[in-house]
Amino acid sequence: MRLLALGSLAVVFACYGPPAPDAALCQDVISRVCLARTCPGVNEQLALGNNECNATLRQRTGCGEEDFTFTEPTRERVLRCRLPLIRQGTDPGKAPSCEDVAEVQEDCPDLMNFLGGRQP
Amino acid sequence: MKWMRWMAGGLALAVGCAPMQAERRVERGPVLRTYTREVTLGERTTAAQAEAQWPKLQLRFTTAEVCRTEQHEEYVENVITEHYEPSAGPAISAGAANTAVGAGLLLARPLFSNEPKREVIDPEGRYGASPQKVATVWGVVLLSLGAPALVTGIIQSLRAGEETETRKADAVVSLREASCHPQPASGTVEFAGGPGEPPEPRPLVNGTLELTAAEVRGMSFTGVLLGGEAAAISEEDQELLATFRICSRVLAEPLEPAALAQEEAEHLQAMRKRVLACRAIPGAPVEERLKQLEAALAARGTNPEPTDAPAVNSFEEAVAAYAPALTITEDSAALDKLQDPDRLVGQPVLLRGVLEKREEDNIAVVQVGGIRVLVFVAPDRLWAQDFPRGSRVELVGVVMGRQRLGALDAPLVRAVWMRTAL
Repeated sequence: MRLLALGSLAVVFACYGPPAPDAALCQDVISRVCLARTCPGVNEQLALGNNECNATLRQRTGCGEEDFTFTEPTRERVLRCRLPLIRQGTDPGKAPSCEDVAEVQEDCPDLMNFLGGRQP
Repeated sequence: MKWMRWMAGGLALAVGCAPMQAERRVERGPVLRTYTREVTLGERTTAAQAEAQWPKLQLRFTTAEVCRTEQHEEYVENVITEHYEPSAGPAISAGAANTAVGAGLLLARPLFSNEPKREVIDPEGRYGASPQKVATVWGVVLLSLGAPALVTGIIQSLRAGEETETRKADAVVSLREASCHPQPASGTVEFAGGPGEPPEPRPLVNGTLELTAAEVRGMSFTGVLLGGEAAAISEEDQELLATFRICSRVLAEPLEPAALAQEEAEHLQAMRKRVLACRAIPGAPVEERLKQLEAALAARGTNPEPTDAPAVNSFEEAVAAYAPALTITEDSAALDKLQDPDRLVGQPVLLRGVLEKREEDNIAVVQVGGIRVLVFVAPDRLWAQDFPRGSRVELVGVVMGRQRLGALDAPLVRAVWMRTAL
């Protein structure tokens, strides 16, 4: 029991590294949204058409640049809106469910506008 | 690092003072010496010893204490106290494993990459921890768990062990109670037992009661008391007393040649045997009487019975030695044969019946069915006890023929052994 408690504590303290830069965080959000591209309304809202999702959104948002930083929406807002997208797990290839994506569409229109290239 | 030393010291102190389980056993060592101790129990006993020198019988009374002789063994006794802690072993094994893995992880830290896990970003926007950081944290955790357990286990193992205390022990290995410190007794002797009024009490002179044959002849007693307490008399002395009492009567009976000439041969044989028994008393005038009886027997053309009859010490031995030809009980067919006892003279028989009465010391009347049988009981025999009237008895004996006793004319059987029957 003692070992289990201390082990959990150790995992808590040992499982994170340095803060990810805004560009990496932005690319993570884009990749997760693109994995849910087939969910209702996503392709239309992001105005992707038949274009390749990741490249289009990176180019549109500027996330492809190494020195990218969030302005509007802010990093904190993006982190909060990202939470439903990582509900299934933080693994890079893990696609969010359509319900989680719909929650983001509803609760974070500023993020969707940012990804769609529209001004908030 | 100073706090770590303090923590280690505190841990060692706490573990060192923790109570451990203990098991104590006692082992017996070699015997150092054996010795005997005599303990006086505070009780006193009275005993009487009989000595006969015709015509006097002396009873020497002594009082003695009861002593208990104890044989002791003094030996070495080892009290072994075994201290142990059953959790020491598991603590050492678990502690050693955790310490080894933890220390190994810390020592191998440089071998792990310090690069954070960039493919994963957590909800707070941070990369995953680097393998080196994970190894460091796990190393510290395992080491902090393993080291105290290891230290605890080692201290408990060091404290475990046997503690032997050697001491001297004493045990009583045997006990024997016996009379000791005998002293001549004083006081007045009372007589008990026997039919009729007991004889008058007699004072002791120098611890001795002296009785003449004439006095004994008029006395009837089975035991003596001193100061109200029964005096112990050995079996041999009881037999000597009984013999002296019989002889005091037998040797006082007048032997008239004319009367002897009228006696039946069987009666003469019985008289001769009773006189022969008096040879056991030193100085008893036996020989002249024997000559008279043997002369009377010779006059009748009868040889004296050999005295080397089988010696028996129990009823079973009597049955074995005499091998009774007939077993006569109230419902046996052999009962009718007693109607003509002259035909059975000399035959050993086993007889069962009810003791009706005792005539004199040496004749008993036993009722077997409808027939009364006179039984000659040698009163100097140990088994010739006072059988209660009406008791069932069984006896091994030899048929002597027919005998008249007062108004009773009945078969006569000389008992070899008689006992109470169930």
